[in-house]
Amino acid sequence: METLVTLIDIACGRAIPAADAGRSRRLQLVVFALLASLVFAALWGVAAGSRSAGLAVANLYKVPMVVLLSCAFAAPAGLLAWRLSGTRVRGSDLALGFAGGVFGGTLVLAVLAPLVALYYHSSAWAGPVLGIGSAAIALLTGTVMFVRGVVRRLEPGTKKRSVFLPVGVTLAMQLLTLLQLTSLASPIFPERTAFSGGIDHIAASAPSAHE
Amino acid sequence: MDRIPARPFAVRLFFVVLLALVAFAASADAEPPRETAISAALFTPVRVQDGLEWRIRWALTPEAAHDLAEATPRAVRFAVPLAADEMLESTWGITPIVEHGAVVGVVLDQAGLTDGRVVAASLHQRIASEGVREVRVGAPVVAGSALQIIDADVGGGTRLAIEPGRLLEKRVGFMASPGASPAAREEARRLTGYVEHLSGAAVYVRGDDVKTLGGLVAALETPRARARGGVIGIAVLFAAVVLALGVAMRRLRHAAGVERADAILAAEVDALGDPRALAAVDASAAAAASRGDR
Repeated sequence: METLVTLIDIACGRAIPAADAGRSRRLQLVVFALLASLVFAALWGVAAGSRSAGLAVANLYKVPMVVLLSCAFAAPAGLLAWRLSGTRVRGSDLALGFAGGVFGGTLVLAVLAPLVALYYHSSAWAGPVLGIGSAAIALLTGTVMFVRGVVRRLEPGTKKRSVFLPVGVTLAMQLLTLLQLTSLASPIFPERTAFSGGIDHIAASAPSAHE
Repeated sequence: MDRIPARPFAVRLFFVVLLALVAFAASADAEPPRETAISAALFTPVRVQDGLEWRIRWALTPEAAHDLAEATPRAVRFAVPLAADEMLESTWGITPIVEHGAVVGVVLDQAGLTDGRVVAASLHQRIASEGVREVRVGAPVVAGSALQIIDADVGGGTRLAIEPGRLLEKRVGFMASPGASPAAREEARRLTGYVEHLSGAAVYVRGDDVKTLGGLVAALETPRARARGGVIGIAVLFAAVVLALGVAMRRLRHAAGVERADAILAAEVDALGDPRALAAVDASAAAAASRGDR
């Protein structure tokens, strides 16, 4: 529970306590944040698929899979951008900020899960809207937490602009991988959504996609 | 016994010539209409209960369209004859040409023209519902060098995955005969009214290539089947990443505990001589001990 509270504090942008400032402890917090986010994502997945038992069970692993693999695919690009940008932020701070963002985003999903489940069972249109809406809010929250977490841990005298490249690259990579992983894991919602067909579907919907 | 009166020779000759003329005129009428080429074509399949319904749009050349409009029928020949399980729906103005028991083309007349130069038709292809891996592409591609479009999307995300072979190239978002330029593809789309999406469903073929291949073969591929390989891959990767995180968590527990203990000890040493700071460090250490940290 203490670790969970520490993670929430970190996600909120508070300073890391001196006892948790060691390298191994930071890495432990990163790993714990990712594992906890799997549980939160699974809760939301069950809620989103709760209209059908099969879908709810499948979402138990599908949604955590989408979240975790999008992190795993985004991290190398973010680390490379961090190295190349030469910013004076510690790698573990970047990792902790990223994991804190994922943790915060999935925590939002988890707390909205009962609402999503309730509306999916009682409304034809509000359920899907809330499902996609909650995912959008989680993405936004995660992004804000990630950016804030990294900016607040910058060494004194470091320009804030310098972290935008690694943070931007990581976020862009994660969004792009999320899009296709969602399509591969589809269906996550009981109905077909704009994201079920991945980038092909979105490109086909755009008028400028035609040759 | 009555004598049958013999007709004069001139009358007999007249009838013989008349018969010859009638026979000649009849044979001239029976001559098949002149064959014509097309400018483009579009074949769109729709999944029906027992197979595929192909919606066909043949865009004729301006000359052929003019001839048809002047009530002069024209014939178009398919690159390969239709198979036994493919049947052209009977339509006004479209008459199948049957040779050796197979439909090898159609005769088009004025009634077939629907929209300027376009002749619309429909073909039903029966497909066994169970255990079918590969099907012949039933689209009646017309012989010749005109670029024709096969929309491989049969609806619901299911697609005819056409084997490219040596006479088709897979390109970004579509498949085409080698040398099919963007202008030629654009022209084929314009003539047939086809709206292309970058989905890989559009296949641009020439009748001559289809003839060389002896027809096109495709696998009926559902979205689930298409994604299966990728899903298995990411599921395995997901399991591996979770396992790695579990192992990392176990390994880091000891090192993180030592670090925390060191940090608390260092804080205690720093706080010696300051009773309030020492009390705060003790409280922190007690909390850590109660959590089981070493």
